[in-house]
Amino acid sequence: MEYVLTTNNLTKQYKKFKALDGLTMNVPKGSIYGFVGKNGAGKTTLIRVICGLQQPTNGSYHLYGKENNTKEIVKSRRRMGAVIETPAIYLDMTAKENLEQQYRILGLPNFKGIDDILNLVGLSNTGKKKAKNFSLGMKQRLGIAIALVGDPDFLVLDEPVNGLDPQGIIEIRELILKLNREFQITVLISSHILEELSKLATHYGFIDKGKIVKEISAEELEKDFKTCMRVEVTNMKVLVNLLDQMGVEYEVLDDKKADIFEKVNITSLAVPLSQKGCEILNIQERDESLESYYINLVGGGK
Amino acid sequence: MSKLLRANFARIKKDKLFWLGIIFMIGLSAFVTLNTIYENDKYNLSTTIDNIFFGYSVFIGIVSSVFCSVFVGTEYSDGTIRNKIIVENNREAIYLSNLITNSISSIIMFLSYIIVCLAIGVPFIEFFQKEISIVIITLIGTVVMVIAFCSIFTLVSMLIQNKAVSAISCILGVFISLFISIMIVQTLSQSKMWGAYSYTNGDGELVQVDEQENPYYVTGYKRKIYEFFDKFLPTGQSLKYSSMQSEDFVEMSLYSLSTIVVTTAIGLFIFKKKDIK
Repeated sequence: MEYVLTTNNLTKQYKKFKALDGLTMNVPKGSIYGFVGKNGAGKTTLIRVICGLQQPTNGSYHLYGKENNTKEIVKSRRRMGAVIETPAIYLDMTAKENLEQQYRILGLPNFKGIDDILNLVGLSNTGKKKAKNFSLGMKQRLGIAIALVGDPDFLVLDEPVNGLDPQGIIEIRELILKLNREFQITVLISSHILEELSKLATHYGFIDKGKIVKEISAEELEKDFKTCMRVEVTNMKVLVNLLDQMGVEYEVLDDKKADIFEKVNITSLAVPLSQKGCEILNIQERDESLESYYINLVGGGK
Repeated sequence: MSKLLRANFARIKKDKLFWLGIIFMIGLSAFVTLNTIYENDKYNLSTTIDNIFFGYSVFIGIVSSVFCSVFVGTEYSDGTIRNKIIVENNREAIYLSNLITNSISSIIMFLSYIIVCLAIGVPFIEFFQKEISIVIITLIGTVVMVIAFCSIFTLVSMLIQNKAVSAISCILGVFISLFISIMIVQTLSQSKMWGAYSYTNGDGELVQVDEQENPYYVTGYKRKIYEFFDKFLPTGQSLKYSSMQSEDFVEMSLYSLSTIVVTTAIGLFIFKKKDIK
């Protein structure tokens, strides 16, 4: 498999705080790689390091096969675009002027394609409106537009839907999917909004305390998800005794409800319960979500 | 670096602060020149253009501090420096392009003063009394001085990621330096001796006071230090150039060049390793 980005034991130390602690990850070409972690896990630090904004303390990374401490890394970075935390835009310029600036910085000979990029991100009708008067969603889209100048094939987006309204979130999601599917752009997207990520990502990297806890494709993740059956009964004590006898993994939620984490034949449950005077009020099959998977992986509170 | 310069100059064209700086220098020049014409006429004076032509040199440091710190600071506050670093990994190019942009912009600002002064002043005010060679030397001296100012402001604003803090640091710094230079000039201009004088006391008697040493006159190594800073500080140079005192032009230019080299070297070294947020 070809990888756009690989990191090898990447460490970043700020005085007494270790933001990245031997982080190793691989972003496959053509994927939408969802980088999942809570606040302070190291997501933004990693993105800053791979974009060249900060030097790693230890370890290395390869971008399109070029190692970070070689001169060739500059050519590799030309193939990437990034939006890190807040969009990097000149607030006193219009959308078009911002893109023209990026064209100049890249040394492109003319402004061909600016209108296409503005059209793609849905900012073609902003005219003379300055970026400081844009909504947050518009600013995010302008940030992505700037990152798309120079036709990158690797896009790094750090929390792109933070602070957006539902409409804005949908627009960004559809844009990312379009860029990946129609333009074959590999996307590394960091987020702590798991539900949104689950609609986008083809691969996941779970980060906690500066380390990758797990890397997995979306397909493998689906298989890994635990099946859960939520049961509501009239006598929890009886249910617990039965489940212990069956040797089944379960979790008691309250005095009426419990989650059973294995496939259990309903008849083999209902009959013994009924014999002991315990009625089943409700049974629901609940698939594990990305959220619960993540909580189980990194360990979190209820 | 040419790409970065092209981008910077495209930004300058639309930059309000740059145009405000030019308008200020034009306004200053017009005011000073017209005032000189008026006073020459009203009081029958013969002030020549020598006295006003280099008036910009005192103000350009202040104007430049505002412009340079805000121009560079905006790159941090808007986050656009990240775009440059991601695309153009050569941090030296980014630093030097900002230094060059700051310097050229500041030079354009003071040139606008000169142009207006000549345009309004030449028809109505007596031309230069001093030789043209002195005018040219002073002009070159101010160019080097302005670049020295810009190298200091570029250092401060490239290393401080907070636009407000870097602007305050640059502006306060230039004012403090100017006050120090004024104090140095006043101290150095004290005469060695207080001349003899006489006065009539309360009893009607004439009292003679002999010539005596001025206790505020600075001597020895202390005087040498004062003289050094008078010529070393760009603000000290600005006071000298404003009245065309360019006898120490070579020495002052060397000090300015050393300021440019040292501040730029320090700035490049630190910026190259700096963690950008």
